[in-house]
Amino acid sequence: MKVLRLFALMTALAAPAALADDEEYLKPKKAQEEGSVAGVRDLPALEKEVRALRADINILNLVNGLHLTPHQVVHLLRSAREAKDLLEEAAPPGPDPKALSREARALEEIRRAMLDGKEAPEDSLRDLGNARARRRAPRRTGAEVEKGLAALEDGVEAGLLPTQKEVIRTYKACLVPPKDLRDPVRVGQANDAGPMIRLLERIVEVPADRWEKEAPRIVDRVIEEEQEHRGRLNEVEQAERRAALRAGFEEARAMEAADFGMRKDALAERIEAPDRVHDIVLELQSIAEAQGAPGKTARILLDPRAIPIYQRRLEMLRNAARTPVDLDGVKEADSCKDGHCAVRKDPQGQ
Amino acid sequence: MHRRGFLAAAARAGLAAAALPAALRVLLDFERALADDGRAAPFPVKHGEHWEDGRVRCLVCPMLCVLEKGEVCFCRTRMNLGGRLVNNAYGNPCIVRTDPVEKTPLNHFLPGRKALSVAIGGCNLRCLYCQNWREAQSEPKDLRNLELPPWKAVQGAVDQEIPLLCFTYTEPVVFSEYVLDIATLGRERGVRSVAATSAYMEPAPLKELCAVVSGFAVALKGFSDDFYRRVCGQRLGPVLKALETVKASGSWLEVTTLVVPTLNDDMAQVKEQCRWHRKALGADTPLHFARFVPEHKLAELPRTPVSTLEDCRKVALDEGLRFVYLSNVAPHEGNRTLCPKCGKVLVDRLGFRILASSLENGACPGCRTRIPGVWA
Repeated sequence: MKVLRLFALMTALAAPAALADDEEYLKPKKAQEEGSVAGVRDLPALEKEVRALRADINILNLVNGLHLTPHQVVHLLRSAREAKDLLEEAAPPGPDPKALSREARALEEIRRAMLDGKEAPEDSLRDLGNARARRRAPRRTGAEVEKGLAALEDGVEAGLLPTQKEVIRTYKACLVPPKDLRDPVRVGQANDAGPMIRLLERIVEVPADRWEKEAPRIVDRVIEEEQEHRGRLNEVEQAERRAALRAGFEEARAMEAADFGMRKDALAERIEAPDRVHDIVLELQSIAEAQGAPGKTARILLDPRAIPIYQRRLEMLRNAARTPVDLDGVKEADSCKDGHCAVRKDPQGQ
Repeated sequence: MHRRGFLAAAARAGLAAAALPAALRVLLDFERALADDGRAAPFPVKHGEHWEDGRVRCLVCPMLCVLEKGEVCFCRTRMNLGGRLVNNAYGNPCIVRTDPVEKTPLNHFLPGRKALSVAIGGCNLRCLYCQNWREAQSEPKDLRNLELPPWKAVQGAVDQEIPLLCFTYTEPVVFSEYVLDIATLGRERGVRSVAATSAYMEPAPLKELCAVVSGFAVALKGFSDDFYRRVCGQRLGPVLKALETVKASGSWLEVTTLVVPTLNDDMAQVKEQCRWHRKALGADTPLHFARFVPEHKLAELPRTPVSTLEDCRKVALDEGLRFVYLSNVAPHEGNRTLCPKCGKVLVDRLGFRILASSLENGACPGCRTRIPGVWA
């Protein structure tokens, strides 16, 4: 578990090294500005840029799904800035000209003594040690940072609704957010079926002769897809999953259309694959948090990368409120104006 | 069978069948098969006038359409079939599925329970923002339909232990004969019915529905006749009258208003609506403000800012309404049911999922205040 905690901290620590100001992350990247073949010229920089963009999108997905109030955004912004300060204090300070010149002077004295066949002067060795220690020593220990982040996280969570905390708890890092996070199902919305229901609807449409031929391939394809997102299965598990899916698909195909309509939701729920990877992540996460490691709220919402996102979000929330909408293109709804309301005449009905 | 012959025979059979109580029709195993083209056998409409010159007048909705022979009504389901007013929307749903009852939306009606939802194509409104326009703005004959007689729908719910039947997604007013039969049968089998409707319906047929439908989620689209005319193609007055009819019937009622930026988000008008709501429907009738998402003919408009919905909620609470919800935005504190007396969170929802409920027999466990609704 220590590894997990360390990983969490390292992830959090990785970001602030390049921090100069809050907006740095949103500035256009040099490689893009110059229009160079960046991947060839500066691969590490491009990789770093891709990682940064992925991190931003991940934060944005969660922030979008939380429907934060302006008050909550302000609190998060303040907390994220405090977290940034904490993390910077835990990182070794950057190059300090005074310390470097002291180090250079000590090294020069040592080199000169050695060239002359003498022992390195003790004073110089001591000065060198001190200079290097000062340059490398973080102002805070990892444990102090963990503790500080945990306190900030508690403060943030105290201002969130239980439902928002549930969204964070179940959130999976992603570039394309799941539908309920991106665009929650609306009241009265008909076309909101989940992937398994949509799959079943397509499977019942496959003509019998094609199904006979293609069923094993279709089942394998589904399993392949599931494994990609929900964890690998061993051979025995694959065989079990194959049998369960095939049985479910056959059950759907054997139903009358109306029965399928009434039962497809229950059937889909029954044959849905468990998300083993996510379950394990959730379990590890709760163990780590129980041991005092920063939780998901700290790792994502207090990431210094989130600071410009909150600033932009606040701006948007303030501007979005009650901005009049241009209705020029909106045409009036059809209606029955002259008392004769028929939509058509059916010659068969006369 | 030739299509014309099928329609005539079906109309005759329908007339005979309509005279029987729903339960008896089931005993006689009266099934209404779909024609080859998916068209349902036309079902006779009770609320209509048949004129000597062959025209008919539909008395189901406030449009009171007068139809020449062969003409199909504005709602796209009822028609003049050889001088008889019939409905082509009966037993031929285009949508059948199970949903949480919260999706209706009903927050005070058996929370957390499932409902078997049924919808047939057609609608007597023309809302520019209709999110189910493919079904609602089509005639049943143009959709892919299932064959589902009332007894089968009820049996499906009973078999799966689903306690509710729900008429939603399109407009139940346009298939009210089917609703009436399913709800009647369901009631006999211990399955209750709820409907999501725009309530553009005449009082007489509506009262019939209220006798068998236990819960209504009524969309009050806005609070001006101009909005109704321009955005929905109808009028406000009949909807207000229908809301009062539902309330007076004793069926459970919740009201939803979709807030569209600029079109109906004027706070003075929201205030007026809330005042009317309190006076006509009572402070305990829940009101939902739903977020608009670009759809159909308003695809270019932006989503409703959450702050606008929050403003609406504040206005409603300030006007004394006790249960005001925000829909289509989650998580949000406006999704929760709070005790109006002590403020305790009684039901916490994340979308249509109930995360926690502390209601005890429909009462607040803290101060014992009874919360209006249907809880068991």
